[in-house]
Amino acid sequence: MNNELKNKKTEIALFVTCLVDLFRPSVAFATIKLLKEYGYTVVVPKAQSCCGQPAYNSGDYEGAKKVASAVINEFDKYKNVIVPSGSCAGMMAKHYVDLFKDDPEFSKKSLIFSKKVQELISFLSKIPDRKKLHSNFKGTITYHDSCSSLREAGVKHQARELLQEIKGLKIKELKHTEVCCGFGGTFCVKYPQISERMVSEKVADAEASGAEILLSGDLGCLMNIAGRASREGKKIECRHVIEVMADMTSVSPIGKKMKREK
Amino acid sequence: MITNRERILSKIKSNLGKEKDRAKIDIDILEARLKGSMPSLIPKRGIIQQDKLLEKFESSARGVDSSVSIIDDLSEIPKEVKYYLTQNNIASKIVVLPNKELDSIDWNKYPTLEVTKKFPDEKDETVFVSSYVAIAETGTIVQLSSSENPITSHFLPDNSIVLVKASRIVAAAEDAFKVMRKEINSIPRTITLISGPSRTGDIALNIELGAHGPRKVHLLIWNDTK
Amino acid sequence: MTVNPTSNNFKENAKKALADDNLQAALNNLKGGLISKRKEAIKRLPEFDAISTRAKNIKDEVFLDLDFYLEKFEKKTIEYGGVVHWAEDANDAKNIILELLKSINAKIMTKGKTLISEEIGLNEFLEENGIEPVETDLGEYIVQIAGEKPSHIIAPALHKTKENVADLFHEIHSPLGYKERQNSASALVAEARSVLRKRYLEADAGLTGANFLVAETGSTAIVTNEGNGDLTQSLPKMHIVLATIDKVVPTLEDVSTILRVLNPSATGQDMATYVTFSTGPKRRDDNAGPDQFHVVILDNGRSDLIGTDKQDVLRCIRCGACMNHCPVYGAVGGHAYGWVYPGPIGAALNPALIGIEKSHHLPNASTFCGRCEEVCPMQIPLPKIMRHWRNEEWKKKIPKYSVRLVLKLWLFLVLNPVLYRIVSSIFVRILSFFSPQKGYFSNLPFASGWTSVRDFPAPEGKSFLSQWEEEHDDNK
Ligand code: SF4
Repeated sequence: MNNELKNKKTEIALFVTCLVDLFRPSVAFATIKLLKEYGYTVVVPKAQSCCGQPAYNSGDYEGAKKVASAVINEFDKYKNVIVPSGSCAGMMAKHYVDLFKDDPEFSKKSLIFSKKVQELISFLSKIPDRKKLHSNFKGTITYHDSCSSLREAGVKHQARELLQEIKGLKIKELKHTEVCCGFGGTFCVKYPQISERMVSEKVADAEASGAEILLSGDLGCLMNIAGRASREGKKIECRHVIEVMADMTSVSPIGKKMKREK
Repeated sequence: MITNRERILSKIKSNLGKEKDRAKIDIDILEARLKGSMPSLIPKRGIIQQDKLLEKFESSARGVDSSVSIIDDLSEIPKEVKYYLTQNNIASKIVVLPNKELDSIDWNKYPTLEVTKKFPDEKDETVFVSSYVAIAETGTIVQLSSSENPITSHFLPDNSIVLVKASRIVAAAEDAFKVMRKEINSIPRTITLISGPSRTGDIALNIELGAHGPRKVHLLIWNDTK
Repeated sequence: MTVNPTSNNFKENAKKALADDNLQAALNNLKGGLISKRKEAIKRLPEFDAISTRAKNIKDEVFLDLDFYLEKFEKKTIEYGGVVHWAEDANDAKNIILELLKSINAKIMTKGKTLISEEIGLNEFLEENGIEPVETDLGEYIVQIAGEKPSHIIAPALHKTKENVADLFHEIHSPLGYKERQNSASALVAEARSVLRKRYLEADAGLTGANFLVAETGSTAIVTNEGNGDLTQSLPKMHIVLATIDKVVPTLEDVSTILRVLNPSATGQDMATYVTFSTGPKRRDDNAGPDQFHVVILDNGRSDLIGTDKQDVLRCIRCGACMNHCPVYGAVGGHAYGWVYPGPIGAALNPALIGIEKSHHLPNASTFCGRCEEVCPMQIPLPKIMRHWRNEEWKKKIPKYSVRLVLKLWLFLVLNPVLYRIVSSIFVRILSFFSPQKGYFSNLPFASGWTSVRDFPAPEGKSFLSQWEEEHDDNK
């Protein structure tokens, strides 16, 4: 892969993820911008929507398989599929294989496909001879490890190392970096009180860190944390980490007052 | 009538797809497994050179809150015991298990140390015993029950003073089992691995020593390898 | 019949637990202690992962020939004069134990810590039959005299603060002559020790669980720190061991391997204070030990898991690490789960033992954060098993109709990309149109689960895909 990635014309297919598509297009634009800067050709396959987690995690394996096979069929022709979300990447790279383990047609397909899928930050950290990030961003941030980025995509130090390349950026760590924020997909609406406890603790940790901005690689966590911080009247701003890396922070932070430009 | 036993075993077998009797070769493999065909996976800290065993045992034992003193000769035992009891404000009164090994100790030099040879009961405060082998990796002593060594001796008294021979310190628990398999034909009724005084964390997760077993464990290591 | 689960009240239980300041104070103890002690212990054992894999393999290997190993264990136990009883379910086990106790006219039975006795509701049953069960593990004892249930598998009284225990002991022990209210943990421990000493000596029988059944030797093994299990099993005339079919391992060495990962995971120790292997009753010339040694092997639904996608859960060695690290357990404590096994292991195991109908919240009340699987020394894929339970309940149509309908509609949209794009962009446009200036919604009628506890960030504007399409109209 490495050699091929050096090739300027390497094509990358972006799996936008449904949350980014609906609520935070900036994440996709930032991803595309940065990938292009690194010389890749980015394509956005048309027939995409969701990776199938809602069905899978609700126990509807049959439904999840239908979504998964559609995703595989649509993205199969690309060699690199980049996903700006740990949980969707985990779904596509790990859980598709589990889902199809007894399927005559897709067991092999999903296995091959799983090798192509990469979580965005992990991908960035592996680009060979990459020139350093040159974002003009200035400020103190804290980084929230989403559980799936951390445990399924294995992203931890990579995010920090990348962020440290940005000159004006200072990182302050959260006290409990390995603890979930309480999003958990449908969990947060099915068990709001427990989720509230978890996310409040995360917001408190974020505030205690002294950072102005909380970054993360998963929009689900970010909407959860931003939503709770907003409910508590906390100042902390939340952004997808790629917005800072790609120097695209002109859009308002998640859940904050809109700068209505368009 | 079909018994519970048959029902449980046949359910397991059918779920495993092993309704039929096993082939001879499969049974042989399983029997070999039970005889130790699988080599143990012992971590580095449990692989210890002969000359480091004592040192490692001592530090591990202290790590599990046992106190330790090292003696060069059996004749030092009464003095050490007396000293330990005085230092720790424990009544100068011990029960010594009546067995061949401990019988050779001459307690008479310390008349103020009251020694009774018997198996301890709940009224006895301090017991003096010897260990079968000791494990350096974890600071553990191993007790095998026998007519001369009832298991209750190690649990009823408040204080346990244990004689450990340096020559009987092994590296890991697996080594202790090896020694046992070599020396004893059939498994003793109880094998007890003891690592320090009894303890509990059941009140708000504070660790307190002296739950139901001994509050104190003192190890007298007799350096018989010198 | 097993102890009645209240797992279906999980939501209400959880709400109560979150509002219970005393419980929250007690749960707070978890954050520091056990988690950091485990970390330290693992640092001292660089081979932890490799040994954990070996430990996992040992159990997997045994399950492949479980019938063989159980029969072997039985044969060996009998050789040494023990008696093995097989119990298919809770009732069998209770009746077997009652008959044994009646045969020696037992009035008092001391107990070492055994979760299975909770599982089958043994204490209540014995009391009904005129036999007094006395818990001797300090945590179990506290819970028993408080008339409660354990809330954690290795620290049963985790839900109680030191002050709670002090009050409780003062109340219960005063009539026994312990007039003064003790305040320090050490004085409380000493008081319990003194009270329980008498009980050990009075007991006619002692019942323990088993961390392991060793097939090679026919031994049962217990792992404890207090020494209560040893007094329980060596003082009375009869020792009864209650263990489930999954506890069998081939050899003593296999026990050692598993202990190397069990102890650090459970308490952060390298080695528990006491590990005792018991084989048969008192020998002819022994001066201590029980006259009778009985092992009750219980199935209670476990054999149904053998050979299924949920078999992995049987590897559990009850170390408690999964619940110590679980954010849901940490928020609501063990009682909210409503049955014997709380936390992630409960969410994966309880549905197998009491049925998904009676426990359907448990595998759902998880964010799948994966920390439990990460810390599990037996490498049990706990989230995956919980997901399998969700699948089971989906197939049984247990989730509410409205939930299933929404998911069906969503699926329909997702599988029709063109339609999806139209509908989603309309949805986003409407949402954007109604977006307050402040950038978030405080209340969304269709997402009240979300907005009841947090604001809903407004979408940026148009959906990405519609913007992209506009820009790349001429695209390939
Ligand atoms: S599931 Fe794993 S972590 Fe949880 S108690 Fe069992 S062995 Fe320990």
